[in-house]
Amino acid sequence: MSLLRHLARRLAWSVFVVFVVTTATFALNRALPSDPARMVSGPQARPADVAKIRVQLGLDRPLAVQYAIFLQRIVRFVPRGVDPKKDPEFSSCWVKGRVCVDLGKSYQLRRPVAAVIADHLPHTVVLALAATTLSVILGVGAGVVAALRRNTWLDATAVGLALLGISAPTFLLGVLLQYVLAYKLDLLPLSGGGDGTLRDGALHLALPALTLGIFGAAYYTRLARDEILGLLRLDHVRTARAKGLSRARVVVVHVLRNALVPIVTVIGLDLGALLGGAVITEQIFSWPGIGTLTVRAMHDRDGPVIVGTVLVAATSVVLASLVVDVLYAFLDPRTRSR
Amino acid sequence: MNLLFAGLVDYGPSGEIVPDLAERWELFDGGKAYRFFLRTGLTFHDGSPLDATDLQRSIERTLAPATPCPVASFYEPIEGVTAYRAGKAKAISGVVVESPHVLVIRLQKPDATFLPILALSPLRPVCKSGGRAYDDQFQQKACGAGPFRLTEWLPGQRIRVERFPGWHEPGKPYLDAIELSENVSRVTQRLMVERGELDGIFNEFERPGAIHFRTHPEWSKYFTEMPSPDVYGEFMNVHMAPFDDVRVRRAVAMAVDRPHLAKYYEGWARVTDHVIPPGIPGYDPGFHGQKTDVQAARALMAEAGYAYDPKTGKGGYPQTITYWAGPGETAIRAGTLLQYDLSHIGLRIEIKETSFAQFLAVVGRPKEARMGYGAWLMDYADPSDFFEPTFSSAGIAPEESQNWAFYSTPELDALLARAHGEIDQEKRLAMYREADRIVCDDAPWAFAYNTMRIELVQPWLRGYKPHPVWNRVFRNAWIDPAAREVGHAGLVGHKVKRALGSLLGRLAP
Repeated sequence: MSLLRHLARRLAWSVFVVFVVTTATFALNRALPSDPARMVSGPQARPADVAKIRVQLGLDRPLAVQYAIFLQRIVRFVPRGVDPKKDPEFSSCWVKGRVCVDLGKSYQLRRPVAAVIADHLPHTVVLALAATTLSVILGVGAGVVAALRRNTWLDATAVGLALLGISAPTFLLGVLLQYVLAYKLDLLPLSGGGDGTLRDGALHLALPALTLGIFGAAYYTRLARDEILGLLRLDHVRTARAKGLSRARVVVVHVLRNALVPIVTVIGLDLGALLGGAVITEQIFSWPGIGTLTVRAMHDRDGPVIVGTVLVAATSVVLASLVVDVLYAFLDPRTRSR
Repeated sequence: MNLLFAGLVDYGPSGEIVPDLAERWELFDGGKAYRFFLRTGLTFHDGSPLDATDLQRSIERTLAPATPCPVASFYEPIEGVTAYRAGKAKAISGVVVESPHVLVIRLQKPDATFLPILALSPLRPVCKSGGRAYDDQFQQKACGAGPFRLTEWLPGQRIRVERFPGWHEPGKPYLDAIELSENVSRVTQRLMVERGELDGIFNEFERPGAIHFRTHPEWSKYFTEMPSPDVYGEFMNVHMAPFDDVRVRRAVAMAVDRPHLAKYYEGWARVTDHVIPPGIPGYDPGFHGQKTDVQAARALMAEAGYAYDPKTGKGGYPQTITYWAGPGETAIRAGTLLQYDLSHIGLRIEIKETSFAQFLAVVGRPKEARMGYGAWLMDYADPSDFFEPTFSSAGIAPEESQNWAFYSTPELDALLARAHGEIDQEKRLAMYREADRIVCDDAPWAFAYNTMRIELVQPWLRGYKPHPVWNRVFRNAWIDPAAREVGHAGLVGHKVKRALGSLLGRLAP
């Protein structure tokens, strides 16, 4: 099967997965025993006021109609001569150029969901990239050292720390780092997203990125160590050494390169999952990302925001998986026919 | 809302109604109309002048049929609001501009609850840029006539407001700016306040944090607790056995072990035995409506035909009663405590935890929930709000009733109607005290507690006092820079940082 056909098939499958996840979230969200109109108006609001708000939110329509409207409006084009800021038809849009992305309007925030997500997503992207970079550098580095110094104190330390990292949940690690590095030592800010400057943003990013980075590094240490140990025993590596190549060259060219194949897969999937929002870590550090938004939306039963954040999470995972598949197909042609 | 918007009237430091944008008002037409005289020289945050037409515009904007106002029905006593809300009138006939500085609001009938409801935020004037129709986008550039103006709002992160120099109280507010952080976990708030990064925590404490501050030799000086305007207890459906017998209801009210509850809820809630909570006009600290007396409760159960012998555990009401707790740990805890108390008088209950939506649906229908977790939180600071929805026929409907006990009597309904329209405040409050006595005696609820509002402010935040109605009123607050410099014993982190910095300084070449 050609790479292009493989890609097309995977793309079609990805679109289907995102559609199914979004539909299921939309349906489940409405199936939950909770009334969004009541959540908006408050537990003691008078029934007449709640009923009016239910109509204003469009919740009085059948679920299928609500979903059809949602799908119909999701991406539209703003006709020339129309100002989307003034036209109520586009009041729930996040507009870029002439394209309107319409995921509905948040019940609680009264803002377009796509605009709310656009505010939060960059924070999550930055956190995901920083955390993954840290994980890879720390984890793969430790894994290589552990494998090359097998059965030494370095190996034992790396494996021990990795075990500790895997065992410690992020809520514990995060609170611990916050307490020691921010509260006790006052080296980093306790929480928040910063004041908008690069320096302050980087300082605020450090703790959540470190929390997720350490947690992820533990997996990469184990993975890299095991992969490298397996590869070191292979014939072509032994042959390369026998031919007189330096140990460093053999490790970099013949071992690490091959070990990267499964590591890249995990990186892709990890990154995809993180882009959907690192819920607990973002909560601990009040990082204004998708995770924090999701938790708040769940708490408020803000249906359109829940559906929007799930859509982002599903798309991130599916896209990451797609990219990994393509990379894999490049790295290992055998997978294209599977 | 309170920082950005100001209204004709407001709640004063003791919860009383005080003038705000209006310097005074008069009542005429037999109590059916209010004439408000606006202060001169009022301006909005954008510098444009504020007059009576802006108030009229803002009232019509909030009550327009398309505005999603969750308390719009509160304003139906104003003449013409019902027709306006239904789209049958283009303006509210009862809101009349007599001159740029005089606004008249006419009511359908005399209504003593009008001013407390007017003091709420929905009808407060918005700038002319807010237009005549509600617009979702206005919140991003919210513009009113309150003591502070909005300068930054990052949804979900922080709100920054700055002092409005055009505010009508000379020299006030004292603070140049306030930054409100959103979505900061309670643990982090505690750490931030200890490090001096927050000037206060307002009711957002995890329990260990509250205990820590309350018992700390330094922090406890800046820690305040005051009862919230709410009432919690157990409702009993008066149309369902065994609670259709007033003796059983009274027995339940007597069986609630309030001295034990006082110990159990210490620092989190205060025990109560009647309807009107502290901070609400009409509250009488000397009144005890329902007294704990297990012996008398058992005697009442015996009178009702459910004699119970605590030694053998025999007798009592033969069926197990479902206690509808709704969601959450608090309700389950209340149910568990009640379960123990009622076991002493021969009433056995099983606790049913449900989602909030299911809870509201079930307890709001007649003859579905025999008993459950009752709660009422203030909508507006007036005793009528604690009786009419919960203990009168006005709160009863086939669905979504707010009177979960389905309790009403013609006498109490009549008394509450008279009190609602009574303009003489003393006479009126006496009527509500009488209503409180009647409700406690008929016991549709066994009253248990009012929650506490807990606040902690830094020693350098001066002039701040907790408000009985509003959360966080900063009109009189100011920062003492000298006190801020000194800090206090809680700032451990800075000491460590200084020590670390000094060490690094020595190590550096």
